[in-house]
Amino acid sequence: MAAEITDQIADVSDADLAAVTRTLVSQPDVDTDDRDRFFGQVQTLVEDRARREWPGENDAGVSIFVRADYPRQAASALRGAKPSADMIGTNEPLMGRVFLLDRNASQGWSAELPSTDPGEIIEWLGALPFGGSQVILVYRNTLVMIERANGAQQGMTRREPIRAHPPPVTREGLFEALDDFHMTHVLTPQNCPEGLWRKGHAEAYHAGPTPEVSLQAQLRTFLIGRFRRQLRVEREITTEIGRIDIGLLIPPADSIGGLTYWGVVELKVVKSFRHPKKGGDPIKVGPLANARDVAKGVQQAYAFRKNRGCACAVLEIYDMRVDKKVDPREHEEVKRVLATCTPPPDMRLMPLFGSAQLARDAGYFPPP
Amino acid sequence: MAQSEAPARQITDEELQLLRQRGRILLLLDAAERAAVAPLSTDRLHALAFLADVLSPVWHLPAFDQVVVKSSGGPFYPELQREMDRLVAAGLLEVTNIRYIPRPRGGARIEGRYGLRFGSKHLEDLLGRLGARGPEAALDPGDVQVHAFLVELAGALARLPNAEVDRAATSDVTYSDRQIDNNNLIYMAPAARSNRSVETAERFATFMPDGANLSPGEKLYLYATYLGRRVHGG
Repeated sequence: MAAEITDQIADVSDADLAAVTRTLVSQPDVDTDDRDRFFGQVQTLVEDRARREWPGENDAGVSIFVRADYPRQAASALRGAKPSADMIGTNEPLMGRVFLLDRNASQGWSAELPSTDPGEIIEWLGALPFGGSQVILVYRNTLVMIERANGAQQGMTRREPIRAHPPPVTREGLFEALDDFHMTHVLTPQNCPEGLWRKGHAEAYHAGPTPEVSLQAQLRTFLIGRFRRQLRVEREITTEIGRIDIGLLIPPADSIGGLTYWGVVELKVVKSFRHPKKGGDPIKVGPLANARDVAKGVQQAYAFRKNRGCACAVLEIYDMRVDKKVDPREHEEVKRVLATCTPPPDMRLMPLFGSAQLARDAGYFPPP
Repeated sequence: MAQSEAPARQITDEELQLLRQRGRILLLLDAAERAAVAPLSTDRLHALAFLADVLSPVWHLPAFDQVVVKSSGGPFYPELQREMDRLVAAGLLEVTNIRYIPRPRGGARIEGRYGLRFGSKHLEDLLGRLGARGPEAALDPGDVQVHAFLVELAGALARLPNAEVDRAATSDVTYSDRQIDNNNLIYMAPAARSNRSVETAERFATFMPDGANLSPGEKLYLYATYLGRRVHGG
């Protein structure tokens, strides 16, 4: 059993411990899978270099990062491989090189790329023993990262911009992040997390078995990537008034103490059909049930902001209904609750579509 | 006519302990290889073993060795060293950069850099049985947790710069406790004194707001970061 939390420990400074706790915003995301952890760490590394205007780089414009279970063993297949250590703390050039790294993208081996042509590089990688590993291609000139999670010669699984400037930690900055998440991660079934839609029945607008949980997990990973080094993103925070979906923690501006709450994002899903718990046909959901869910979300976001002193509280409502004409925020149930919340939390309705075609018909363009 | 079978010999406690020690070495080095810090010097391997022992309660695991002798040069486990050398002889480990380090009072000790010998035909099967390939292949499914803990710990320590890694174990809150002099024993469990390293790792939660949590993995990363500060006297 882990020890109980004790009073101050002799020869251990609480100020030091608080300062170390503040580094949580920069630590690897140890509670996600290796694939997301590696992607996030490579993103941190290249964005750090971009913000420092790529120190020590020559004309080369491509860099390759490969996650290796055993980097030393993998490196034995690479001619001229040399150790690369403390990647984030050094100015070791990245461009024109392939890196075989641990899941924290912190240590490993690197070698020169045999070509500057991305097609040739991918072909070369595919023939190596680690060609089936997760690969991230970094393009300096276009500031883009491309992930091929299932190997160099398999399809693209993720495409993210390299941000040369950190996003603002403001209400507007959060909205922008949530907008991007909506467009690139959940708008259509093609790119949304598993569990959101019932498999094979998205076009009929049948919600999956775990829409809220699936959204929550995906949004957490997205926000960690967006606000790395600025915010800690935590899921399922238990409070006296229920569980908050996403909590956003920030190091205090005066650098005294540990982390404090900055914001909360409560997620609700309004739908036409919910997944039956014991099998069978999907169950119809009416406007009253949806409105009650939204009203509950309002109460939670409001109460959490109040008793945790958050700067920002957002209720993000994902609309999985077939007919989206009626706004659930206008329902009397919601209005009644809103009247008790001063100031009310921000409330945003984000439409989700059962197919890319339906999204296009509604005026959205499918994400790139 | 049925052949008479030789009675199965009962494995002794001492033999079992040696086998466990060898398994521990393979898992420690598996973790170091995954964190890309292998081959590991003798000192660093013993340091990793010590930090694994002292921090294992953070992962809700018991310490492997209950006691270690405190010395100015850092933790050293004689049995671990002996079995490391046997695993080299068995072809499961490789050792490079072998050097003889003179002892202050005469004699010498052997120093080298140890890693897994990936060319061994038996290594993959052994690592599987030790829990490094998931619960299906493991002899004891509980060992999967031991492996996960060691990999996370090695990863956390690997993020420290080289100069800090070298002094991480001697800067550990338990190891550097001024109430324990050199050549005295440091007990992990049953605790003669409370485990101050674990108390420190748990204390990070004090600096989190109400309702927010730290996972065991996060505590290891924070503790490793804290060790880096202690190395510099912070």
